Amino acid sequence: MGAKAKKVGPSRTEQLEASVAVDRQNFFRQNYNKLLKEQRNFGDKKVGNMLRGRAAADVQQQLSNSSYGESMRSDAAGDSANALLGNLGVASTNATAIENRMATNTIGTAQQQASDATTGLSAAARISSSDALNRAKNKQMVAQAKLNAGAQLATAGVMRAGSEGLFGNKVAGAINGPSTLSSKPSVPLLQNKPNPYSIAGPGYRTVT
Amino acid sequence: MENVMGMVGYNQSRSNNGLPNVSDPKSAQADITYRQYMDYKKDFQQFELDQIEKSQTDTGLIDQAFEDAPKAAELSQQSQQRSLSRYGAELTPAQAQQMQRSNQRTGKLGMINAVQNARLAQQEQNTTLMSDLINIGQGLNRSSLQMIGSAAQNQSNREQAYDNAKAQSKASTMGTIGALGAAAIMFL
Repeated sequence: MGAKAKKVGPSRTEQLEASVAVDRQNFFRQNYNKLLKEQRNFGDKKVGNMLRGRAAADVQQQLSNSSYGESMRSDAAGDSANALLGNLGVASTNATAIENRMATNTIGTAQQQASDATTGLSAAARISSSDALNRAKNKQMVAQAKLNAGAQLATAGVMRAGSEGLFGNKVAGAINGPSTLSSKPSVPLLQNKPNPYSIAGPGYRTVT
Repeated sequence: MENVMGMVGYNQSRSNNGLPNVSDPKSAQADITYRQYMDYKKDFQQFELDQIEKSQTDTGLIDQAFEDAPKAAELSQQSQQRSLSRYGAELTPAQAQQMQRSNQRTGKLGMINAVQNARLAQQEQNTTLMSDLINIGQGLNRSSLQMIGSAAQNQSNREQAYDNAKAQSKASTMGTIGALGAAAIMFL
């Protein structure tokens, strides 16, 4: 009878690998997830205010070299207003571009993580699925082997009984052959079996 | 560490060297991947939805231009008045009227110009944002199709293996019965 199957656990190497992986995952979650959330909240920093303030300061610095002639020029204020407006517009546009870029970078990174996570889940599902399959296959194989073994035993028993004449001479004759009915059974008897470990062996005569 | 699935999937106690003990790597993988996805849903999904909405409806730059134009004109006029008073300049009524008209004209034109520029810039920014989001969405679409494909393939494999096993079992049983029957017939 074969030994009973034992459930095999992960090897020491696998356990260590998994430990390192979980530790790295914990580190990632504690440190990098926080960073990604900060990046998500980048819009709250109102980067536009900073850029617009800088743009307005630039305009004032460039155009504040006032003179008597400049102050008397009728369209000087209009030019200055247009310059300020133009610069503020550029600053606002750049700020929006930066905020949007940060937002899409954040989403892209978060999605990539999510994508990795779901791919991991499907891998986990695959492992479970193949485990279940293997279990079912093995169970079925064992059941079939039991049935086959029982059938073989039964057949051998019936054959033996038949050859011994339990079902009558006719059946014994069918198994052993017509010529061996009385003296020469086709199934060898166990007594007088040649000894395979004997030096002389079958066919040799011992010299006395 | 908390377990998002509400069950103990793997041992999180720590060994001597400070690493977590993982007795069931399969369960650990399932827990970690599930937790990562739930993190995304909790922390980033609403943000993503807001950005999608923003890419279609944002008018921030145009609104800002409407706000900025009168303020810029007013600031410039105040600055010019300060310069005039600093230099003690006296404007004739005609000059003052001309200056006022000029300021009004440039103020209006400036506003129109600023708003038009803002509209163009807004359109460009919204389009860029939308394109970036669509690119991200394409990746999402691809990965989700791969996942569902993988799940379908798993199911198909399971069903096929079950059918094969059933057929094999039936054939084997029939073979055994046949052998037994043949043996029985032989004795009769």
